[in-house]
Amino acid sequence: MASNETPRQWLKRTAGRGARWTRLSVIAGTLSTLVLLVQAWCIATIAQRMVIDGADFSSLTLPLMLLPPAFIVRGLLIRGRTICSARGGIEIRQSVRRELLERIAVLGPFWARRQHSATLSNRVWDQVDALQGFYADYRPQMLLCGIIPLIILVAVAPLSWAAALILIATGPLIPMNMAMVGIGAKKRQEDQFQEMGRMSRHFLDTLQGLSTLKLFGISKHQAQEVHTASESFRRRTMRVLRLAFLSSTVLEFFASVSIALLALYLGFVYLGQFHFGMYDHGINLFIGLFILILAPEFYQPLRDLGVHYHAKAEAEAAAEDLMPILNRRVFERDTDQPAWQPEASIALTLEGLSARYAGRASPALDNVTFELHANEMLAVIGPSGAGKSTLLNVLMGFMHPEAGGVSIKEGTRPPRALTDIRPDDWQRQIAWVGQSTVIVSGTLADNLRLANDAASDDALLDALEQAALKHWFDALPDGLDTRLGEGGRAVSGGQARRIALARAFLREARLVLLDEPTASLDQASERLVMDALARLSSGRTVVLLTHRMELLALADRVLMMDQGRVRALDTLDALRAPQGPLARPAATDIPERRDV
Amino acid sequence: MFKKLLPYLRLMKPWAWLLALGIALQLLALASSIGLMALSGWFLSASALAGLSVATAQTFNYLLPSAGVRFFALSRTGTRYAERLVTHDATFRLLSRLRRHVYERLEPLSPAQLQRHGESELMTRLTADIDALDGLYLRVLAPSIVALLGIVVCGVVIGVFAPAIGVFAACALLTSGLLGPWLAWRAGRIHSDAWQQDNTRLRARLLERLNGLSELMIYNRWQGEVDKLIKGEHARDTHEYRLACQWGSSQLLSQTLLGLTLTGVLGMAGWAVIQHGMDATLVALMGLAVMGGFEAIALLPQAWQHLGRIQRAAARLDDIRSNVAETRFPDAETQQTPEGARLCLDRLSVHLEGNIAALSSVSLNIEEGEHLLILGPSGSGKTTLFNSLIRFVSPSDGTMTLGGAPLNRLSERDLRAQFAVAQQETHLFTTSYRDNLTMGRDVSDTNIMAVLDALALGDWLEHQPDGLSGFPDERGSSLSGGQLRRFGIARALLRQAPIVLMDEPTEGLDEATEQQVWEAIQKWCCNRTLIAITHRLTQLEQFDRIAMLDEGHLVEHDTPTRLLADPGSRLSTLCRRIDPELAGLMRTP
Repeated sequence: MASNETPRQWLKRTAGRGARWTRLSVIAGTLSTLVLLVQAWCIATIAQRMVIDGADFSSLTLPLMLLPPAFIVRGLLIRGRTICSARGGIEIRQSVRRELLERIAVLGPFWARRQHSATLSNRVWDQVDALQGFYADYRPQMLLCGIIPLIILVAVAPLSWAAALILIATGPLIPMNMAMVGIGAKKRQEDQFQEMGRMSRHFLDTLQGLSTLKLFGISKHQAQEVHTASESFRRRTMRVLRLAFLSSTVLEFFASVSIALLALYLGFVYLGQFHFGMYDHGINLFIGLFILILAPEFYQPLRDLGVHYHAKAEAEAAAEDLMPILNRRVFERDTDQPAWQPEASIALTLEGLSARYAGRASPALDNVTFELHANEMLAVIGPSGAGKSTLLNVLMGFMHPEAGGVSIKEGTRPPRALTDIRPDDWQRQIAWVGQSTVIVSGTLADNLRLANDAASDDALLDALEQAALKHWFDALPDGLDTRLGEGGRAVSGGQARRIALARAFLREARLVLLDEPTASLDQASERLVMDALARLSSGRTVVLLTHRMELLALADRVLMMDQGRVRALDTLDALRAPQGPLARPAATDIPERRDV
Repeated sequence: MFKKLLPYLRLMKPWAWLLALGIALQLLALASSIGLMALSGWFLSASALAGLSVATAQTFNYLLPSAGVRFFALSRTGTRYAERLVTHDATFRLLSRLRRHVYERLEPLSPAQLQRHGESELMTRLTADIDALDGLYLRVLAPSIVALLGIVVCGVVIGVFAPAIGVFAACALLTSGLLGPWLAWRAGRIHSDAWQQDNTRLRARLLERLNGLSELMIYNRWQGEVDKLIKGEHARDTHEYRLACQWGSSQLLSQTLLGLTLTGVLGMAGWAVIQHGMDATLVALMGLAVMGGFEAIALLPQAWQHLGRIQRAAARLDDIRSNVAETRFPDAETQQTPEGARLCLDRLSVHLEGNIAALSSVSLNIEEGEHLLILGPSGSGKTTLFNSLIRFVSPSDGTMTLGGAPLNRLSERDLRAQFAVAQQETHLFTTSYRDNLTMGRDVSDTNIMAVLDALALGDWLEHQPDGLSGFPDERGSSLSGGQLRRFGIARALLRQAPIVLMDEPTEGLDEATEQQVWEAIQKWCCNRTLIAITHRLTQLEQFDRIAMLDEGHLVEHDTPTRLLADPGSRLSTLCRRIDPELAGLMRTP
């Protein structure tokens, strides 16, 4: 997996995943050219028998009988080709999409959040779909461009070397001419693609900004603007197209001229004006017509390829977006560790922990050292950017520290480094309540069992009660079978947060991680969530990120962080003692800044 | 079935001649192509026949046919080039009009509702739909007409020599060209619709799951989600695969019919030669003409496929219009003009989709020149209040008046002129920064620079190589989130309107910048009404009045001093809940 791979190389490498379908598609295309030879034979034979031999109608029986099956077989082959091509494209897409989705898990949620979920889903969904045209149409066609002309040459050459020469002379010239005549025809096609893209982006831009335009009272006037901009794009695009079409015209020209040349050459041979280019058997009408019928097919693959050019440009653009995700190097943890299953509450020791985001100069965590006791609730506070979320991500195993480490101690067993525990085993010991809660489409029971597959219905009810959802639950029409989310019952922010808490109760995890669990809740919900939190924290080791005073009061100790470093770690009372870092000033004025 | 396409067909009227020219050129190109093959076939047959004896070989007039062959070779090339230029030019002209047309139809819709309809995804799909609609001429109309005429040309070329064979060829070609694609189009609709539905659902699901990635990973469910998504994708792709199968079958049908047509024509020609003494050299001409005619038919399947896509696009455009209610503005007779800028809200209630009450009976008067701060947790209805003022949402109950005139009696022009708004999201247009700030009005660069400086954007501007004339890059990412927000504030402050609405203007800004931005807003809004929304407890005393919203109810409103002095007020409770020292710690020392 070379890091300096080009999109084109990536596309080629990835093509291997659907290679057998592409191969079948190319075979079908090749066979259908062979059937074309039969068709040409039939037509040319009929003409020869009628015109020259003056034969009886019965002599036409064989070619006439052969024609319909030839067309049917060709139709079948075309059908096969269409199906195989589509199949190949679909398989490659599915495989790339699966790899992307699995890759996202390796890169971790923190990385994903920084990509913007909308951008990321666009890549995983739309950009992968954009590969279809390339693999289904362009690639097989490109391969056929090397095969079909060759078959036709092989068929023509033994009949007349002059005819073959005409084809050879114009054939290979075509790609060369395409490049030469429109110096950089490819560049021009790219320009065309870009210009068209700009054109539709401008319109999208206007539509997306519609409310802004309205607010500034110019949305009506903008209709004219849309038209004017479109018109100026048209003029620009047409300038590009005038040149871009030249390259396909060159192709067209060679195809037409070589057919004309062939016809004239053959005609003059018949009339006895030309005496070269044939073998001892000479050229009869059959041979002439046979060659003439095949001639357009010699150029057809290249003409078809031009139709699919945009698919290639689209796929290359998509590849450019996808490659950074697929080829990004990450630390991959050894998965051969022995299984780990703690039997008692766990304590954590963080030793000289430093972590850094790619491309950032200053570390997000800088030499963090502290101990988290078993069954302790530790609150972490600090301004944004202090490293609180990073700390959480390291603890969850989503981020790998660049120095230092975390070791876990449970009961009387010797401490074990976090890196020596399989991620699955570790994550099974974590319950998590964050600022937003995933409600998956499904029943309430499905949503709760997310945290624990094996939980009985009684356990679910118990968890609901613990999470202060009993009241809400009793009003549900279908109880645990009530459908939530997409197409089901809407869940408010406070309810979702308590569902997350219920999951945490069900989880039977040793470590509970809480990220602002009461953020943006109304007062009533906040109260309920806090009571539930107090219940949840007993008998578990808890790390809580917050800046709420009430929540701090629940904590055994408070860790103050700033710029990735530990500033203080003590009980709330000690921190608030007269000389402590959280000491009250003499007179409390209205604070400058707080959140509602 | 095709009624929805009528308005789009009508749009083509002004360029009827251009479109006709494009079709004529396409037809010429096709005729040249048929001519080239048919004439070459005849020329070969005739010269081969003539070449049988020396005498006929010498008298054979080869000048005319050989000139014809060369002519067709050149005209095929020339007309195809011209045809491409003309049809593309016509398409782009149509596109300009089409965009304007669609824009004019969308413009009256309420943006807030449009956004709820699916936000940018809807817009993206819309652009794709318009791109599909612009193919109506280039991909559907022109090829269809050309194919039909091409079949006629083919029939005529043959029919000149043998009318019966000509008629047979034309009819048979027509059948083979239409039957297969039509069947595929009919049968394909079910799968296309199902595909579209699956696709939308899966896309939404993916986005939802990506948002909850941490939780899903912690609960070991990501792999399960991946499997489910891939399974959904397989189901979606099955429809795609079925479409490909249908498509292949329709090609098979077309080929079979072509084969039968060709056999029929050649058989009839052979029969005619033997039984009726038709010139034998015409056999090859007829066969090759049929094959050339099929080149036109080969265009039809694609046209049918596009037709389906275009019909769905047209239907979706209609759908948006019928689903999203318009905000109606009064006509000239019933409209009123405001006197002054006093805002009165009387028992204002707003219900959003699903009948959720976003605002419940809010009554509030805002005097001209007053600076009002609206506080409340997220979801308390602050933004909805703004949206009702600018008539992006319609109240379900209660009245709003501005300068004595009911808000819904103001013409759109008058209403817009009253408000300068900075929304939470700032949309940056792909035009110069200057145009993005002036929004179509004349504002001097000095004024622009003054606002930017006041909002701490002066530094940023200095780093732009082209200054105000520079363009944001194509994805609009040349400004950071915080800068973009301030850019939106600058845009609103530059607008000379009596009432300024600011939605969370300092969200995502650091302490020092936040302070500076508030100062700039206050300074630029003196003598103007300022209504600001925030959920941060800052700058309280810089405002004349504070209104607290909670779950759509106006809980309290008074001067900050009085609210803070009352220990029972919501504001005081809030200020106590977040400990001052803790708040102090939040600040970077």
